[in-house]
Amino acid sequence: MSPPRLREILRRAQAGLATPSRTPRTAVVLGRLLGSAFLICFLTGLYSHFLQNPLPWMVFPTRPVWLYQVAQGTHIVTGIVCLPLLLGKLYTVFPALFQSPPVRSLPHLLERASIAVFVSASIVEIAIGLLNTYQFYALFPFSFRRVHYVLSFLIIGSLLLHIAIKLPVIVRFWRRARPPAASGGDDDRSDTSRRGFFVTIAVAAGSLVLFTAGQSIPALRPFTLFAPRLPGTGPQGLPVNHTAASAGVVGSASAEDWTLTVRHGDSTASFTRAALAALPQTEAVIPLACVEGWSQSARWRGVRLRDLVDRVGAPEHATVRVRSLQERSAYTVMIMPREFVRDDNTLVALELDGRTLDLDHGFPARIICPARPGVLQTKWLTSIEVLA
Amino acid sequence: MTRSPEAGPASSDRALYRRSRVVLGALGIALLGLGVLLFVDQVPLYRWVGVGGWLLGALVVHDGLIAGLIVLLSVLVRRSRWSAATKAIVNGSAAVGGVMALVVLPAAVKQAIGTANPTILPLDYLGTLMWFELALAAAALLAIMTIRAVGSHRSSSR
Repeated sequence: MSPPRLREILRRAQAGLATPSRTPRTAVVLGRLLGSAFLICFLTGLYSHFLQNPLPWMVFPTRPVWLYQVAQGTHIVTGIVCLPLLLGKLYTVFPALFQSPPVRSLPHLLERASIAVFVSASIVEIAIGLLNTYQFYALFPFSFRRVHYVLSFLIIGSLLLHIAIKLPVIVRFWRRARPPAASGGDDDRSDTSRRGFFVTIAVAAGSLVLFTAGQSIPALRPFTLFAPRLPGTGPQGLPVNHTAASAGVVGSASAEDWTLTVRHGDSTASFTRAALAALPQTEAVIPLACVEGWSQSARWRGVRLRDLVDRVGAPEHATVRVRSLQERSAYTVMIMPREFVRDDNTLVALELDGRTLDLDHGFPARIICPARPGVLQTKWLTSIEVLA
Repeated sequence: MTRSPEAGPASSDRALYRRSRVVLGALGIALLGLGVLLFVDQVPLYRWVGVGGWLLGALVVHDGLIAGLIVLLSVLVRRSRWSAATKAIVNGSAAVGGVMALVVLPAAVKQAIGTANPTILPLDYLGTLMWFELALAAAALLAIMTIRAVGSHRSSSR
């Protein structure tokens, strides 16, 4: 196909796709919302990532106890809202796909390449994030955690580059243009089309939040039609991710001779469940907050972790290594930094809402800690080792 | 980078404006570079094809399928003789219904395949989605009929 013919086809495609809602102003308005949403997801995502993979110098707040619950709930709810925002944004700029000539210069090529990276990575990020909340792992030929983390940098990087390139347009259309003095029939139709476009985005985003966010926001619980989790369901009215059966611990966790070993160098103490129950007990209302976004507060009762590690002479600054009966799992071993070890509300929990822990909730004993993700609330404890 | 002085801010702010662009661009390139380094470090080589397939597939599915369907629908609606309000309602309800289906259908599929325990995907996703789409269509129809009734009432009372 000759270049003039190609240019004509592209020009016609662009003209055919022009609508009142496809203007730089709508692209800027949606871009602001989408950029803010991506930034919120990026920051809350980094917080969750580093809680699970802390750098040596990192110290995390342990209060308020609902900090992680709110952060991760915000991450998931905002992530879902990103879908209509992104589709809307792509709709407004779709004619740009047919710009002619397709590539004008090397900077133009780089600009288009950065947009391709942004669009592609954004769609994948939102899609795998959503599918992960459904635990639809079979669709991922890769590690969700790693790819979700890595793509977030590519998205924010290409987004900043895109903003830098488009800054003249963004500045120009940041504020609404003054309406013309006399409005004709065409303007009215354009207004309806533009308003309809924004109402559509708002209704789509609002519906998604209303019908899915009840798993994270208690006030929206009555409207939970499509959330992957329903608080109040499951053993003892609390959902679970891994059951005792799926973790392969039914036998070892139910064994009569189960003990919890607490070790610090040569100093070792072993506790049966009865011995743990005989120690001073602490009760705390702590939300169980999953990385997948659902959360539910519960009343936990058990022994303070710091009381247990003090029995083997743990220093104030010590971190601990907690082991589960669950074998060959990413969460068989959990490292807990000192600020969480020393927190008043970090428990080796024995009871949930006034009853003995269900086997699926970690019987005979589990960790409950404020402001940490559920995957680090190790169940079916077998040992706690004090590290230097 | 393209320059369009007439589009930029007042001349007194131009230096700040230019600096902001450079800083944003440099930060963007740095984060992109960090992303590439993290990708190489975190994603094993044998997973690259899988990730690449998803990234490429996302572009194909969006630019080819989703955008194509949206263009087809909007062209059909635009060619109709409906009023602007009716067109906006038809387009809007189709988009809302489509977005909800995009989010909920994978949950219904995963539920049908099976979940690790009964607390994962415990709701009737497919059934409720169908009710949602029906209610949305009914609400859209009601809105269109109301607008038409109000419109004909206004024109007959003139």
